[in-house]
Amino acid sequence: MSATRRAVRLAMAMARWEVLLLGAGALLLSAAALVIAWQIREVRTDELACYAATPPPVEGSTELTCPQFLDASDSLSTLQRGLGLPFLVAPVMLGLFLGLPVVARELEHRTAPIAWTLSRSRTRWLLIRAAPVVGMVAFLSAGLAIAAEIIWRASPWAEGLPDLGFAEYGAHGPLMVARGLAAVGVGLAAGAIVGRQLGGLLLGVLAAAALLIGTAMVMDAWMETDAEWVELATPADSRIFDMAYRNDATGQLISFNDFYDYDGGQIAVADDGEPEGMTAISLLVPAERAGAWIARESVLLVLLGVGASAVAGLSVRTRRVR
Amino acid sequence: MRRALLLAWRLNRWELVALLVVAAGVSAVGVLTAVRLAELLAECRAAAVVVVEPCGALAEMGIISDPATTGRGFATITLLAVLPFVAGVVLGAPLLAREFEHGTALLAWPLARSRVRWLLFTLLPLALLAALALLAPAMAGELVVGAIYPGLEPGANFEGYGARGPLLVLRFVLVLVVAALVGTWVRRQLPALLLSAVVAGGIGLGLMQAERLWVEPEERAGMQMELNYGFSGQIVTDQRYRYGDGEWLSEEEVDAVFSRVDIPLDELPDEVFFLIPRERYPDVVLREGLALVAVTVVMLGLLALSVQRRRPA
Repeated sequence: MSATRRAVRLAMAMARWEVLLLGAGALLLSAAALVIAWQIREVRTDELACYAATPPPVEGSTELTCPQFLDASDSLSTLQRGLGLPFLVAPVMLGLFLGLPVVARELEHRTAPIAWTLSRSRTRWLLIRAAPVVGMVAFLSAGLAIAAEIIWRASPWAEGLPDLGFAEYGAHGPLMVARGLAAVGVGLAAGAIVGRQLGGLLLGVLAAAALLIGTAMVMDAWMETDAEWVELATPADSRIFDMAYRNDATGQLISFNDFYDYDGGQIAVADDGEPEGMTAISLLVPAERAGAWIARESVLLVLLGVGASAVAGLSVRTRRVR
Repeated sequence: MRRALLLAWRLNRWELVALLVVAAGVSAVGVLTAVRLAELLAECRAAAVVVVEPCGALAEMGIISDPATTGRGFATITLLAVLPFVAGVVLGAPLLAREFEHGTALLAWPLARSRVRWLLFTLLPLALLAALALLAPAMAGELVVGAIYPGLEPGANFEGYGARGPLLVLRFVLVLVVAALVGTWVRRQLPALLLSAVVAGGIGLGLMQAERLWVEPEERAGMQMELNYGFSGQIVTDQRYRYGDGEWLSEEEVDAVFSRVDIPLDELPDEVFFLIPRERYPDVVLREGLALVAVTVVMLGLLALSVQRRRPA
C-alpha cells in the first residue's frame, strides 16, 4: 500500500464520524439545492409558456397575468434564499470540524507523544495527517460550490447573464472552497494551541468568524477603490457601494439619503419620477471584474489558511509533551 | 452537593466560562437597550408631537421604534432565542461522550454506587450551574420586550416568545439532556456535537411550529384588528375571507375578487383573522413549560437507561 493511500485511510478512519455526518450534510444540502433549482426551472418554463400564450392585459386592468404560478415561484424563491446562509457557513463548518481534531484529539487522548516519537519529525507527522483532511474539505466544498452555482443560476434574474458576477457573493464558486481551506488552517491551529477538542472548537469558531469577517471588510474597502460612478444601473450581478443623484449643471453629488432635504425639499420631479436636471448614478464595480476580485479574495483566504496551518505547525513543534 | 458542584465546574469550566461570558454579554446589551428605550419613552411622553419616530407607532402598535435601539433590542431577542439551544448542545453533547472517548467511564462506573447515581451527579450540578447562568438572560429578555412594547404587558405579549422567562431555561434543560443522550450513542465529542446541533435545530423548529398549537385560535374581524395595538404581541395563525352569508372564499376566488377594478365596496368579502390573543400568553407558556418538563423527564429516563445498558468501553 502506498504511503498516500495509507495516510488517506488513516485520516478517514480517525475522522469517520465527522466525515460521515458532514458528508451526509453536504450531500443533503447539495441534493436540496439541485431539486429546488430543477423545480424553479420547471415552473419558470411553464410560466414563460403561459405568458406567451396569454394576450396582453387591457390597459387599466389590475388583473394578473398567469397568477397560478405566483405561489409556486414565491415558495421556491423562499426556499432558494433559505439556502444562502447554509452555503455560506457549510465550508467553514467542514474546515473547522475536520481540521480541529487532527492535533487536538491526539493531545487530548495523550497519544501525541507516542505518534510524534514514532514519526521522523513532528512537522512531517502534521503534514501527513493534515493533507488528506485538506483534500477532503476541498472536495466536499467544491461539490457544495457547484450545487450553489446551479441553484443561483436557476434564478429568473440570472437569465441571460454570462455568469453570476457579484450576485450571492461568497455563497458559490471558488470562494467557498477557499473559505473551507482557510477554516481547516484555523481548526488545525486552534486545536494545536488549546489541545482540547471542545475548547479548541470554541476558539476556532471565534477565530474563523473574526478571520472571515475581517477579510470581507478588508476586501470591501479594497474593492471600493475599484468602484466607479455610472448612470444608474442596478443589475443583480454588480457590486453597488452607493447611489446618488448628480446635479447635471454643477456636477455635485447628492446621496439618496440627503436628497429629500436638498434645496429645502423644493426639487421639481419630471414625469418619469426623476428630479429635473439631475441624473441618478451608482458607485459600483461592474460584474465583468467579479472574477478578478473572487480570485484575489480566494488567494488571500488560502494564504491565511496556510498561515494558520504554519501556526499549528509551530505549536506542534514547540509543544512539550507530558 | 458542594462537592458535586465543584466537580461539575472543574470538568466543564471552559464551557461554563464561555456560557457565562455570552450570557453576561447578551444580558448587558439587553439591559442597556431597555434603559435607552425607557429614556426614549420618557421623552415621548413629554413631547408635544408624537407622530414621528421613535414615538409614532406608540399609540397604534404600542412600540417604540427608534431604528438603532429597537433593532438592537430585536437582535438581542434573536440571540436569546438561540442561546438555550447552543448552551444545551455545547454543555450536553460532550458531557458523556467525553467519558466514553477518554475511556474514563471504564473507571468511573465501577467506582460509583450505581450508574444512575453517577449520571445524576454528573448531569444535575452542571444543569443547575448553567440554569443559574441563564437566569440573567431570561430576565433581560423580559426587560427588553417590556421596553420595546411599553404599551403592552410582557406577561400578555407573544413578542420574544421562548426567548425570555422560564421557557428559556426549560428549553435549555431539555436540549442539555437530549444532547447528553446523543453523546451516549455517538461516544465521541465532535460528532456528538454535530449531531446534537442538528437535533437541537429540529427541536427549535418543532417548538416554533407548536407555538400556535397550544391553544385554540380565536376569530377576529379584520376591522377589529385596527384597535387595541393591532397585531402587536398576538400570534396570527390564518387569514381568510368570507361573505356575509358565512361562505368562505378559496384563495383563487380571493385573487379573482381583488383583481377586479369595478367591484363595489359593499360587495367585498369580510377579512377574518384567526389568532391567539396576547392575553393567552400565560396559558401558552404554562402548557409549553409543562410539556417541556414532561419530555425532559422522559429523555432523562432514556438517558439513564442508555447509561445503564451501555458498555463503558
